[in-house]
Order: sequence, then structure tokens, then C-alpha cells
Amino acid sequence: MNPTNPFTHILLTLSLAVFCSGAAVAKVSTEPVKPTPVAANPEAGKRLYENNCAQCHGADGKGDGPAADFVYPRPRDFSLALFKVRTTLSGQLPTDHDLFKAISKGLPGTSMPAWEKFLSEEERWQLVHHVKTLDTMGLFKEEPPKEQVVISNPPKVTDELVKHGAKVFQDKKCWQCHGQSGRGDGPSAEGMKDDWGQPIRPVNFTKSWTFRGGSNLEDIYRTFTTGFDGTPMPSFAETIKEDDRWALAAYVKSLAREIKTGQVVKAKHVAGDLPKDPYDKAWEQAGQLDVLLAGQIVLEPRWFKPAHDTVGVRALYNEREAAIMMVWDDGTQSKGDNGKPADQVALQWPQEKAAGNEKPYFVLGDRQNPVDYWRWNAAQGLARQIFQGYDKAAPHGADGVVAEGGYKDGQYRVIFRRPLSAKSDKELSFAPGAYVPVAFHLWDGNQGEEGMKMAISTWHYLLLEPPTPVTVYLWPLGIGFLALGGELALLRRLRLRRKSPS
Amino acid sequence: MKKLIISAVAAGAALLAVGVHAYEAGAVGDGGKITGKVSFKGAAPAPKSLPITKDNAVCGSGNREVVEVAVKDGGLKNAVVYITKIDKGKAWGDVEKPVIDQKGCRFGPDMLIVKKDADLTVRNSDPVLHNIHSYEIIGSVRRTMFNVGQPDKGDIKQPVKVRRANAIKIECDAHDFMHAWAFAADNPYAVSTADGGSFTLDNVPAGTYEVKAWHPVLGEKVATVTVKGGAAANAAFEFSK
Amino acid sequence: MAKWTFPLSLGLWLAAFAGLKFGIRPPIPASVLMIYMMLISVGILVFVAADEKRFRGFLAPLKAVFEGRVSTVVQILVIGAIPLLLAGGVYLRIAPDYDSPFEPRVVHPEPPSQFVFKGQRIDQLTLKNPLREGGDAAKLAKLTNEGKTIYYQNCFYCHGDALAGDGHFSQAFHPIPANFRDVGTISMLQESYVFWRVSTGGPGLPKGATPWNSAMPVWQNILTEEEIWKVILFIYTGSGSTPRTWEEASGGTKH
Repeated sequence: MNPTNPFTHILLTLSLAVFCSGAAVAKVSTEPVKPTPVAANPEAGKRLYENNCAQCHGADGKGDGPAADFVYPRPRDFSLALFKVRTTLSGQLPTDHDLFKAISKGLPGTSMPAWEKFLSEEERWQLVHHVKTLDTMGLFKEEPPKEQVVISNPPKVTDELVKHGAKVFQDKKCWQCHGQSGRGDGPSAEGMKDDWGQPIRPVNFTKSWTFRGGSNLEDIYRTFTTGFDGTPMPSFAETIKEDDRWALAAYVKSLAREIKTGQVVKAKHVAGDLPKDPYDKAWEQAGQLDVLLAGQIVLEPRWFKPAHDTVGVRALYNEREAAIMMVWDDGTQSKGDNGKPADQVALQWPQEKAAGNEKPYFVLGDRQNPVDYWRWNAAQGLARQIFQGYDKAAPHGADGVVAEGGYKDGQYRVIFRRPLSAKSDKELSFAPGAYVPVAFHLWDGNQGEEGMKMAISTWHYLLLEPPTPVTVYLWPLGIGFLALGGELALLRRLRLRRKSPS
Repeated sequence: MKKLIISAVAAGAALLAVGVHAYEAGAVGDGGKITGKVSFKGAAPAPKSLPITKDNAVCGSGNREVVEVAVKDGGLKNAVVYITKIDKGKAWGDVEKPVIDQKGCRFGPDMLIVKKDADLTVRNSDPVLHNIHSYEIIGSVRRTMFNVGQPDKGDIKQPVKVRRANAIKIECDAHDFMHAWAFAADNPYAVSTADGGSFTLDNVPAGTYEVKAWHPVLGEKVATVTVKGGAAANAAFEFSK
Repeated sequence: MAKWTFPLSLGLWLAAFAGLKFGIRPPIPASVLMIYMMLISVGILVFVAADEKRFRGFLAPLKAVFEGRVSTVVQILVIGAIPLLLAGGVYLRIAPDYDSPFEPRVVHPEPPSQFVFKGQRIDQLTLKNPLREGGDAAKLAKLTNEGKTIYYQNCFYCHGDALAGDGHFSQAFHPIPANFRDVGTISMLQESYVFWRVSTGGPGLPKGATPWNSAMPVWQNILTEEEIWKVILFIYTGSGSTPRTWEEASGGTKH
């Protein structure tokens, strides 16, 4: 380097100045940003971007592609160079590796897929380079990130650490947005907006599969440390100590449960009456199935941005009746009295016994195959109807069907009950060991969901699990002993044979 | 030769880039001052009234009035009057060590003048969580500058790192009724107007300057002012709806 | 070499099991896995028994255990493990699992010779994509690009950003949406077939293909005829496949 070159000199002073101003503020330990392994090939990057990204993020990266209006959350607008998931401090640009990770792994709980399934490493790096060119402020050129937050040596997660984390959660008032139960139901949760003025909801800590930046301990710690730029989630780098941030991450991780999906809701048998209290211990024993939901995009008006992604189902039965409990989290309860529709849930059954596996159409049946529809409304309670297609409904008496429910700690629990036997032979009845088709619909009134604007499932099954017959245990025991006997006999014979010639 | 030209051009460009920060503070010998009033013609829009929904013990109850256009006797408060370009002049003073306080769930002051790139002391004087979220206002775009949660009482420092504009909006994500503005100044000749719209820029070296009055809601007005040593020059700005 | 017959056979068996159980996505049904494993077991046994020396080598470790030529601990472990494995296997075989009942479904049902499109009868056999006529490459590219926009405003929630049937709603549906990148879907079908599937959606399927379960909307109620053809252009281009044509089927080439 030639020291007399004025350009080099100025550059040096400039970079020193940038470095010093950064260092003066950050009390968090940082390390130099890792080098970018692949050089930019602008043509390839542009082509890959147009083929794979422009549909959502827009040709110019303004987050305004043709699909942008139809997804929640909205696709990222790259023109402001603001990114949520970063290893750099609040207000700073992400590192190339941060962008690479987001492209490769996608953002859970959004429509951003994990592109590592479809694009090579080289291609994903080209996209990183291209995304940086869409920054209309030119900040990636002007102030590329030099330092990133050190995330290493996570502590061992112990009960004490989690307990300490729970205290930090209280003391540092995380519950103000995320709620005491972590379900995103805090007093500040309603009406939040991001930098673009779009509505945004605090994350539900119990749903590990929706954590945008990933759900392992380091990911959660990183989010507390750097914040999510462009959203109301701030950085706590300077206001919560490092140890406490790790404890908090451990606590949040302890709230997060894994999703448990499947096709069959298995009802467990109970002796005596079915519990009416949704918090009764018997419901824990029932086990919960998470039914995945999609927007109702089949019939007009189509609904692309459902508020709920899953609904939990538990079931119990006795000799007389069956009970199905619907469990779902909702940060904002709506009873229909705030100018918005009430929250609702519905169960759909074929009305008649079917021949073979034939069923009514999965959304509200069809003219030939009616469905029995039980809808619980947070304001009005149960309404039972018969649908023969979405446009043909007739009211039906409750006829022994009961629905009771309530809202507590950011969560709804609604119990539906009905007698096992039907009123007539033609109608669907419940019997242990028989698979009964059932589908689920869910509405969040606060998000404007009502009518056909809802989250739907396809057909699942309810199965009253019959008690296991004794033979299931007797057979293995018998065969095990038989084999052991055979072995011992063989052992004896071989021993004898070995002994006899000697 | 060609190489030399390229370096010279590059150096020039770099100097231009740093030029924004190249204000030289020192003693001003025979300074004058610019004084005057920012006025508002017509009826001021009614203040916004936002419900205080939480932390009522600290924040108070009922509604919070957010006065965006504060007019008294025809004078406009909280406009910023500043000299757009000056290379050399008085010392920075307080704008170099700016402080914004969050007290009673209110930002103080509600129009803050800060030196560009200085560290802003963010103070939480309340026993509740505040979440200062600052935005650089670039035309119609809001861009997060920093977003920091303060669960406890105490001070933190954050850089006022504006990239393209001087206007800064300050909000609290925990209390949607808290609002304030800031102005990132290139030189110490920037002042917010007092109640009634009056202002004074003192210790101005003699010369002719472009002076602007900026209001976050109403926009900008420009005037050219000539300052003579030891004398007071007058400047007047008028906004309307 | 004979010395290694037993561990090699065991290793091969375990590798085959692991490959079939965890290597195939979506997982094959347990009953099919059972049949494969039976065949593999018989195959290994036949191979081992075909040569007497090999067979003896195979039996040698077992013999060693039963004749007491190994330590008592190993002997007890092996002798204990065999009945336990058998008993466990029997239990797994007869214990009720209550997974969803087996419902056979025809994935690509025979198309009807005629179907109704917006009140008009359409002859499936002679149906051709009108947008391909003329063979103007620039025009085709433009139409395909318009199809892309339609795809991302209507289809990608289920069929995915990369047309792999894995959109953000896909997991909620059974059957899961078609993966256009899979060689077993659109690339083995004619465009006329795809037009029929798109236009009449789930409810247009014959009974064997479980029309009540399909979340495919009846697109003729939502899109115009031209829009459907444009989307079809895009899903072929976007997934890197080409439609099957009669000319190809009869050995000729068209493209």
C-alpha cells in the first residue's frame, strides 16, 4: 500500500472512524464478520432472482411481487436494507452469512421456503449478492457490516436456568407483548405495526415451528440480542445481561412445544362421567393432535391469510358419550362486541353412514352427501346445522350435542359432547374401533375472519380407542418363552454332545 | 497520468462524502445572531387523542393529547430553524451530548436537536418497560434507525446514525401514545422554536446563509439571511395548513 | 472369508432395513416393508446356504455361543436377546396401531372423453393448448410469463414456490398437492389432461380418485380459459418439464 496515495489515506481514516464509532457504542462482545466464500456473478444473480424470488419480493425488490398481497407476513422489501434475522446489532446491516442462512433455511411460519432444497450453494450465494444490489440506499456499499455478535458457549440448560429465565421474563416485562403464558396475548399485543405500516403480531412462544429465526437456543438468544429490525421486537443487548439473555432463551425454549400432527384423533376411554372442566387431568391423558390448517382457498370468497395455522384436538369417551376438546391459541379474544366478528370453531361430520370410504365434499359437503355441522361462537355458543354444499344450509336441533368453552391465558378450550348412538339408524353413530370422518374450521374474529373467510382442514378421523385385548400381551409372552425353552434345550444337547466324545 | 486523475477524482468524491461531517468547531470572534419567529396561518389541526391503555399508575389515565402542530398567538412551536451549510463556527455545545428522557410515559423533549452521528443517551425514568424505536424519515419512507427495549430505569447510549435524511421520528412500541421527533444536525446552528414560535441562533460568523425552517408535519421553508458582526439579523417563516 | 459371513449377512439385513425404512420418502407402508424384508431375509439365507463352507461359517458364531466357547456374559446376552426380539416382533405385529385406515386412491385416473367447461362440452381427446399454436417463441415466452403471475396469485400456496408441491398450505391437505418437478406428474401427462384436472378440480375426479378429499379448486369458476392455458404453459416451463404429446407417444418428434 502506498502511504502517499491520498485516496488510501482517506479510506483508512474513514474506516477507522466507522470502526471507532461502532466500538464506542457496542458493549456486546463482537467478532469480525466471516468472509463471503463466493464472488458475485451479477448476471447469474439477477437471473436466479427473477426466476425464484421476484414473484413475492418484486422485480425491484420492493416486496411487491404478484403474490405479495396474498401472504402473511408480507415478503421482505429489500429496498430499505432492513432485515429481521441478523447477527449484527440493532440498526446495522446483516452479514452475507445471515442472508445466506435466511435464503437456505427459509423463515419458519412464513411462506419463505428453504431454498437449499432447490438451489445449489453457489446459486444461493449469487442471490445474496443480488439482494444486496436491491438496496436503494446503497448502504451495503457504504457501510458493510464488519463486526457480528459473538454467539458461542451456550450454557447447559438446567431447571435452575429455566427458572431464572422465567424471572427475567417477568422482570424485563417480556409478557407485555408476548403474554404471561407466552402465547402472544400481552396487553401491548394488539394493533402493532411494522416499519411498512403492516399489522404484525408478537410471536407465540409455545409454537416452536413458527419462530422466524429458528427455534434452537442460539437462535432465540440471537433474537434477544440483535432484535428484529423493521418490527417492534427490540434489541436487549444493552439492557439485559448476557447470562440473563441465555436464561431467557432457555425459558422461552421451555415454553416452545413441538408440533404433533397426524390423521387420527384417538379418544381415550374414561370410567365414569366425562370431564366438563377443560383443565381436568383426564384431558392431559387424552393427548393432543395438532391438526394443520390452511386458508379456505377453494370457494369464493377465498381466504389467503388465515390467522391460525393449527388447531389442537383431544378426545375422551365413556359408555354413553364422546367429548372432543378443541384447543387453540389466540392472542386477541374477540366476542363480537368490538365491531369485529366473534371467534369461532366448527366440527364437521358426514351426516349419514357411508358406504366404503366415500365422504361428503371436504368443505361443507355436497348436495348428495350432507354434513352435520357444529359451530361454536364465542358470543352465541353452539349452532348445529346441516350443510349440503357451502350454499345450502338448514338449521338442526342440538339433539343432545352440547358445546361449552372459554378463554384463558391466550388460549381457547371448547368441549363438544354427543351421545355415542344416533337418533336413527341412517345417521352416523360412534362406536369403539370405528373410524369416524371429521374436519375442522377455525376463525379469528379479530383478524376479520367470518363466513367463508376461515382456516380449514381436510378430513381427519376420530377413533374411540378400544381397550387393548389381553391376547395382545399373551401371544408375545408365549412365543418368547417357547423360544427360550427351545434355546435351553439346544444348549443342553450341544453340551451333552461335547461332553460325550471326551 | 490516467491513474493520477482517477485517484484525484476518487479522492474528491471521498472528500465530498466526508464533507457532510466536515464542520470545524472553534471560537467565533465577532459573531452576530439570527433571530425571528416561525408563524402559522390559519386554524391549527386538532391534536390527536390517544387512549392510555396500560401502566396507568405511571402513565396516567384517560387520553393522551398528541399535539402535532402547536400554535400559540400565531407562533409555531417545535419547528427547527437551521443554517443549511456552514463550514466553520461555534462549538457544538449540548447537541453533542443529547439526552432523551422517558418520564411519565412521555418523551422529553418532544423536539430534540442532536449532532449527526453523536451518541444519544436514552433515559428511562419510569419503572415500566419502554421500547424506544427510532425511525429515519426519508421522504415518505420510515426506516428503523434503532429499536431497543428498556425494561428498567437507567441510561443507555445509541448512535444517531441517519443515512439520508435529518428527520427522525421517535416512538415507543410498548406505549403507542408516546411520540417525539428529532433533528440530526450537520452543524450546531440548529434550534427548535419556543412556545410562541420565537428562535435565536447565536454566535453566527458574519456572512450570508441559507436558513431553513422545518416542521415534521408541515414541511420546510427557506430564507436567505445576511449576518453582520455583532448585530442581529431577522428571519421570518410562515407555515399554513 | 467364511468367518465374516454372519456379521456381513446381519449387516446387509440391517442396511436393507434402514434403507427401506428411512431412505424412502414418503415412507412405504409397514405391510409393504414387511414383504420386502421377508424377501431380503430369504435371499440372504438362500445365498448363505448355497455353499456348505459358507453356511458353516454363518452358523459358527451361533454355535460358539451355544457350545459355551464364549464368555458367559455374551452367552446370556445372546440367549436372552433372541426370545425378547421374537416377543417384541410379535407384539408389534398384533398390537393395534390405529393409524388412519388404508384408503386406496387412483392418482392419475382415466380422463373422461368429454367434460363440461363453463357450460360447454369439451372433447378431451382432441383438446390442444391453443396458446402453443403458431410457434412464435417470443409470444410464447410472454404468455408463459403471464402464466407465472397467475400461478403465484392462485396456485403457489399449495404447489409451492419451486413447483414442488410444498407450498405453505400443502401439509394441511390430504392428498398433498402435486409436485410438478416429479417426473411422475405433469411430464407424463398431456396438456389436455392437465386442463381437465385444473378446470374441474377435486370435485371433477371420478370416485376412485377420492374427489371429496382433494383440495384442488374448480378453476373454471375462478379463472378464464386463457388464464388456465397460460398457467399450464408456466407449470411446464417452471418445473423444467415438457408435456407428453401423441406424436411423442407414437415415436415421432414435435419439438
